[in-house]
Amino acid sequence: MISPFFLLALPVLLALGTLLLPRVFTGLLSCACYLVGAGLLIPVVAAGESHLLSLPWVSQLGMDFDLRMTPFSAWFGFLIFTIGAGIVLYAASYFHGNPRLRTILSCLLFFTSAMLGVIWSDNFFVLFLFWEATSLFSFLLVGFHHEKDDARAKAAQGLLVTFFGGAAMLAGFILLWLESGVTSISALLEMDLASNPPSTAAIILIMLGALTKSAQFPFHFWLPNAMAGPTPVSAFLHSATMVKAGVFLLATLAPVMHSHPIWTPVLVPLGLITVILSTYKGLREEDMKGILACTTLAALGLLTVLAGIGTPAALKGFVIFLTAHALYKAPLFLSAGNLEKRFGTRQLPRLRGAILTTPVTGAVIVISILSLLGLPPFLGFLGKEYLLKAAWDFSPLVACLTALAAAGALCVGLRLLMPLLARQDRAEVKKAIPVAMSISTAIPALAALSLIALYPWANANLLARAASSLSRETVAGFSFWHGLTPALGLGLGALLLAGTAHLILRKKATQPVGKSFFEGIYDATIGALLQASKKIAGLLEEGSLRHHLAFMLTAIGILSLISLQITDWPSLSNPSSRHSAIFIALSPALAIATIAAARASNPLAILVSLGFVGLLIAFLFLWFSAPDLALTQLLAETLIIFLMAGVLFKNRQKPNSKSGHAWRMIVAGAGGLLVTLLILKSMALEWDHPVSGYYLAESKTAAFGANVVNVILVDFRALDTLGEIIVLAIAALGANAALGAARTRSPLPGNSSSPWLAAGLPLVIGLLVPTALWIFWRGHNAPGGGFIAALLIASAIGLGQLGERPFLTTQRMRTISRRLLVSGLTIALVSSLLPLSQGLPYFTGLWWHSGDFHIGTPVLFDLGVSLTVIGFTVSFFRHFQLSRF
Amino acid sequence: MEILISATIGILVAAGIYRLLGGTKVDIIVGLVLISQGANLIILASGGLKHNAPAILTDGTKNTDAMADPLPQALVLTAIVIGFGILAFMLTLLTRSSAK
Amino acid sequence: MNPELLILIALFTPLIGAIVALLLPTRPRAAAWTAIVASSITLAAGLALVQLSSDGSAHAIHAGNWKAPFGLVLVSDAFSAIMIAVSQLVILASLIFCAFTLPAHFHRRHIYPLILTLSMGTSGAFLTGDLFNLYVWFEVLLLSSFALMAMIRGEKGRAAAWRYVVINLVSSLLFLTAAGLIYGKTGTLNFAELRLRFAEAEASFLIDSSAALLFGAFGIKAALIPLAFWLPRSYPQLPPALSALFAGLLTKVGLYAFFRVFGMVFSNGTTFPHQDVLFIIAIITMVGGVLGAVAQGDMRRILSFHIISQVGYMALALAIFTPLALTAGIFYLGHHIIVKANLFLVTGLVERHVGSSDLGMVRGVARSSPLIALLFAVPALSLAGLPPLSGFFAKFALLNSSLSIHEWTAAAAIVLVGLLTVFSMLKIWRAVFWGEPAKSGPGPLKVLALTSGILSVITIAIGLAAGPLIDLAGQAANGLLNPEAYLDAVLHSQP
Repeated sequence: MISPFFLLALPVLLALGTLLLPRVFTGLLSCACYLVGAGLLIPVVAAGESHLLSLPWVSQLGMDFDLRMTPFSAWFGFLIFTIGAGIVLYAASYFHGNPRLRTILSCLLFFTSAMLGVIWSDNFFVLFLFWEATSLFSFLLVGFHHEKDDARAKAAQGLLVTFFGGAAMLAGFILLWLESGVTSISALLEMDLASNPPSTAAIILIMLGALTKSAQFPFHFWLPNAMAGPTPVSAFLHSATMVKAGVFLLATLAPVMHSHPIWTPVLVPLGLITVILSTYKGLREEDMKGILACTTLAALGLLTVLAGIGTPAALKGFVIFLTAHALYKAPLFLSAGNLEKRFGTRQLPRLRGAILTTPVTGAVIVISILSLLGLPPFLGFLGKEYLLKAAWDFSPLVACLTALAAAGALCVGLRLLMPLLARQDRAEVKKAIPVAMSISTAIPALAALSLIALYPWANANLLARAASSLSRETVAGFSFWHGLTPALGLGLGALLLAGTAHLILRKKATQPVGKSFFEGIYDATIGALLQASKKIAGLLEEGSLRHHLAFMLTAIGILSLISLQITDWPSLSNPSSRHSAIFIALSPALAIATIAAARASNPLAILVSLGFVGLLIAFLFLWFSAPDLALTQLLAETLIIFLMAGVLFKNRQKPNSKSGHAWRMIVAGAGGLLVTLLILKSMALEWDHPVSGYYLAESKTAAFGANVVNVILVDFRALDTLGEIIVLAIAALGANAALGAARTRSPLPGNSSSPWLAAGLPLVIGLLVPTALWIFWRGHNAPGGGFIAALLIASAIGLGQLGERPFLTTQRMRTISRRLLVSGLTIALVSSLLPLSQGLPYFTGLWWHSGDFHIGTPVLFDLGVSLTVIGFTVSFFRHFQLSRF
Repeated sequence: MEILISATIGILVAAGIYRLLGGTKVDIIVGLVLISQGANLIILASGGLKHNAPAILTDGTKNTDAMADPLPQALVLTAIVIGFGILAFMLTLLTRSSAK
Repeated sequence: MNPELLILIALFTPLIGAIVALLLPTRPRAAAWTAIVASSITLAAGLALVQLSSDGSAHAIHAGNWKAPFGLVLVSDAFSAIMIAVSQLVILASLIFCAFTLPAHFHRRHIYPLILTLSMGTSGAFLTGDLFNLYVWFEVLLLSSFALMAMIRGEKGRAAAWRYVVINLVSSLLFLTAAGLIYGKTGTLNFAELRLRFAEAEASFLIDSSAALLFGAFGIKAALIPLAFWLPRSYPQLPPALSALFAGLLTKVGLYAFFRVFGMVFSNGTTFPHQDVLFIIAIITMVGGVLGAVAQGDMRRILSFHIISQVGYMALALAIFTPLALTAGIFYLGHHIIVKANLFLVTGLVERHVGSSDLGMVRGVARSSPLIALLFAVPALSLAGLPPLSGFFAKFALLNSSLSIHEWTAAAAIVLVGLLTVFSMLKIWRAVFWGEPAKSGPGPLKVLALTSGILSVITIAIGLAAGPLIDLAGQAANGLLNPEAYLDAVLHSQP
């Protein structure tokens, strides 16, 4: 027994077929499948039971793929398939010859599945999924003729309004879940909902979703605008199916929510207002589709009223009203399309007497409008009767208001019908209507007629079942005659009122209504949004770099300052007394040098002051017992000055603009103050340093090195060093990337040929290189190591380039630097991975000992580091053209 | 001493920020150099400063508490080298913009 | 496969690939293939690590056989594994685009070694268990991105590169300073060790001010407002293949650092320093970013501003700091990297097809190339949060987590920003894809369309398989809030 839920997937399969195998899958096939689907649903309705399907999906978020098919939703499905059959056949014919036929057909098919998903979902969030899918497909379908500006704008409007509602609905569902603990409609219907703020909020949000979808006041403006889409789309989505999703949801939830104090007072008035507004607009509209859109709004309004009332009687009326409306509205839209094809226009004044010359379509129009007007024996009569009956049972006042509102809708219906039956000034026939279009127009109307023809059976087995399942009360069925009830009276009264109004108004010349007030609000919101966004984009993008930097530093600084909590500090233990003379001289000297560097404007001043800063810091390092650091700082500083000299002297930019000293000082001062406080705070907190203690303890014994700093670099924390040399390699590659063809061809101001240089250079270099090797070798046990050795060698190379006959040409420098970089990295990598062959973790030191002499992989690693550093510096010498050749 | 060194570093960083906000590329580079020197000193200073403490282990070292803390030194060394690399790269960015 | 080996593969394969690619300067094809092979291997390792840590376990390898916290550790827990796998996927896609779309001069500039070093930097950042080591990998990552940025030609490109470099260097300096200060105050740099110290309530106040500097450093990288000034001026200048890499990855590494360092290391399981500040900034970022996007007139610029807005979402997830919120945040990270990179790649396809991605100049791509339209629609809808795509579940979980703790502002922001995101995507769709096509070039190269298509399929698959994936993200989140497995692996396992 195949689950009836297979019908959910049927349209998708058809759509895929249409896209992938176009010749086989035509409109006719889809139409036939739809009719079969409709047929398959009839026994489901008649059986009177609910079917459930549950597939786990994302249970942690309460979203399982739960489907539920009650007799009512099966009945609605039947309606969708029946009408859909007509639509699909119609569309195939309407767009015949259009190269995008497959697109629209498959869109309609996908949409059908989405719509079925909405009505058959049980889980809140799966409902949301299908809900949004229907909005999305509606967007694509309304915007089908997207070469027109109009269509694009209106499609977007519909999408945004319904997505807004959808998002609100999602939030509402989540709140409902949090409040009640259930995630499915079937479970919700078994509960009592408490009336507290969270559930009120949830209900309001869910109502927002439904109201936007069904275009109720104040979101009514998007529905008439959606008429910009092609006729089959308007017929399917915006009359019979998609817009019904909102009221469907309201009606489904009504049994449990109508007792909530906010439900009826909100929904009933909004529904009534919508009906009245639609009348106002419909009486001024001239386009057939426009008028039909207004009557759709009215019908949705009345359905909202019914859902708002929410009593079992109201829900009973809901079922029949829905059925009647779907079955008469869709054919009317399709007929409008037919008339447009036949007479070349949709404007009512130019379609006078159209029915008289169009047999099939005309008959359909007449039948459908008679149903709209609520005349027996059509289903529309039942709809009107039960609407008014339920309203009267609820409140006679509401019933009267409803009748009045309904009268307006009826008036619009009359306005539509009468000109089409006029005998004078008949419109001219332009073309014939294709047979397929006529037949497809008739399909829903035929379905309605069959229901009436088979009324006793249909009533008992289909309508009654559907009504029972929605209202949750056993319903015997709908009957045409109840005696002289107030409902009947009101209905007749409404009809009379409508007829009178029509007679009075029909002679008046009218103009279509402009934009509604609420659409104006929508437009204004979008406008304000665009304004705000321009401003914000400006804030984020424009502005000079220095202003942005200042802003960022200030923001971060403030955050840090307010977290300092100075009062909570433990006091500074022993503000140390070691104020030796050297230190007292060093600090101010450093301060002076930095201030000089801050204000230096010509290249030479910059270089000298930076040089002094570096030098003094090196001394500071020495004073603080960091010999390796001092050496590295000195050498790195030298090379930096060397490189900067090459660049600064060629730089043509005017340094140090005169502006903004004041605010720069403020920001800088604040930053400096913050830094001072931060350092003091960290000095004031005394934690023990087990990590360093371990290093000091293990360095000689386990890592065979007395220079603990070096041991940390190549053994304990060698991974850091590996990253560091990779950074150097990247910098070299990056310089290559940056300069590329932009490299200037002008070398440094001429290599001089002084005799001092000629004699002295080889001497200095001859001293430097062996020193470097020695420093490398002893680095593990005394100040020194790979970096320092490499920097020395690099300095030697740099010096060598200054002589009259530098021995490295640009080409050689490029080759050498690349080889050094690659080999350095490879050696470092190999030395780190070698231990793996011994089953030891990476970077473990493998040592060979001979007495007191130890050599191991960390030394190899150090070699790799050296080679990389040398390669890096040589590559930069090349980049800065430190060669004549 | 703590106060003096903290203040000195503070001045260094302040000078760097002042220069960084100067507006030209050279200003920015000089400012970054100063600030990174400052950052290095901050690491060393907050790690705990000892003057005249032995830095190298000898065979006779029993009391490792008196020795200089080697970890901040290693960190600063790494930072100096990384800074060196980055600075060299930035200089190339400077070169090409002035090489038009 | 044992996890130790996998971690090493994840870290070192890109390096080996980079070295090999460096040896092939005259053979771009070979270098490209090297890079692709290396990334594929790393991706495989990442996926294997995900598989291994899906039960919430963590694995650590200790460099040099020194036990933590004395030596450096690389740790792989569920969070790291997810990040590695997803980022390698994006790197791979980007490499394929680079190989086929970038002009030859990029190869001479060593683009493949640089992308591989960038890859290594990200792997290192995701795996490291030490604060200073994280700084080093950030520098590797950053400098590689500087080098890639520097390849852009033209005046605007240079200005963009300069701005990008300077601001990110400031961020590095802040990071360095903070690391030093934190060492000074706590005596250690090891994540596990630090976490133990901060496990007592109120202990983290000691580093509040240094943590603020770190907040700033990571905030600049992640592009939180008011630290995001560098992004709108620099990202749009990149060629699409590279922008996919940047947009997909770099800001997310900054976010990863936030999650790991603030969410795990500095936290005590319930709160972390500056959590309230992060909350406010997250909301400002979410709203500001998307408003900025709405005003733009070019696909790339809109998508760049979106990055800022989406970063706000993930920061919000962290700021809320409940298990569900963190799960949402991690899921969001994974989903977003893929979707954002895909969107930029598709932008590249559009540009190749019609010559530009300016909204005023392009029209009708949906008709001239329905394939490109579909390739755009999937990630765009996912970003906007349409079910059943991946983005929906991320936003849904986040919305859920904020509603369940009654954070109405956050919930409203999530919904509102989602709508605005739809609005800006609509802007692109209406201008670029709808309308009558003006002119069109050839359709996309098959291999490029396939790459983007695979990413789209993955996006759909993440949505359909959201159940197990949310579980995985939940494990990762739990690993942050209750890092016993992490601490165990680092501190107690045999090195």
